Amino acid sequence: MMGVGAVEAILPHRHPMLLVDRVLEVEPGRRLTAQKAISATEGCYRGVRPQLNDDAYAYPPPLLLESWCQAAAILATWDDPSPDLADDRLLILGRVCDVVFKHAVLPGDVLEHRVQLVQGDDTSAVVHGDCLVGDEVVMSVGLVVLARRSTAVLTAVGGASGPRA
Amino acid sequence: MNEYPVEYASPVRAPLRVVSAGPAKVRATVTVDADEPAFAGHYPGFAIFPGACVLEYLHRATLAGDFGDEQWELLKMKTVRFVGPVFAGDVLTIDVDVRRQGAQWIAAATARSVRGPVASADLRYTEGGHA
Repeated sequence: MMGVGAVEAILPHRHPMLLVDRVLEVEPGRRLTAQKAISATEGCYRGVRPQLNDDAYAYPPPLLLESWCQAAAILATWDDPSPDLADDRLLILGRVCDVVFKHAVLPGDVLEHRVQLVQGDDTSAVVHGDCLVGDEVVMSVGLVVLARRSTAVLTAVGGASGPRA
Repeated sequence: MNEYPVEYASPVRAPLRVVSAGPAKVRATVTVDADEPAFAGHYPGFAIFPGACVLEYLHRATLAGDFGDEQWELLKMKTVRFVGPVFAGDVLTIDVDVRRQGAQWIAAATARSVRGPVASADLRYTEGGHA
């Protein structure tokens, strides 16, 4: 089992956007299982009006997908990580196909991301898989393409409004 | 910034400004402020707005449409493409076209900044709870 410190040695994401807590299993180049616990103390719940309707506390689907994609990024960059972006490389989300949301995720749930690498090389990775809470699939991911981009090129694209330190 | 309290959990703080919302079309804009919480961790020293946050705005712009009393639930992201980066200070213009297909609503949503297209998505919704 790898905890947050080990995850941060692979991913450049940091609080509040680090959305993987643990890696449970990995077969490099093939598959990975990772975990994230959802808590009411997370930033996305800040300021939600207290109410009895659980729908208001549903974990935002884009964050559920982002968390799964971070698990995928750990697998995709396992042998060649870029945790501090010092080497001019950044893995970005390029394309998403057929992501199905089957059940709402609520605070207290523990996500288990199951990622399989379909295809990967130095420039991109194609992945698919599921996210489970207990035995129940809460999200299935048909296909995600992650692409490695140069931070220098992204900065040039931004021009005057580029990324700020 | 949003006034607290808010009605639902969200990774973004700046509110959408809905420019127009009809039964089949929505246009909204949002200014991505440097103090959006996500920037602190995405990434230290290289602040780029997460694709997930752009996706949240596409989703919220769709739900801002004038579709009567129906409650919609996001069922599926059929396709999403991220084609350009978003940085602090960018103004996003979001356009959504919605059509019904059987029991589903299909939203074709795009976001663009002054530099050009940022993202496009085909999002599928169902009425009420999950199918």
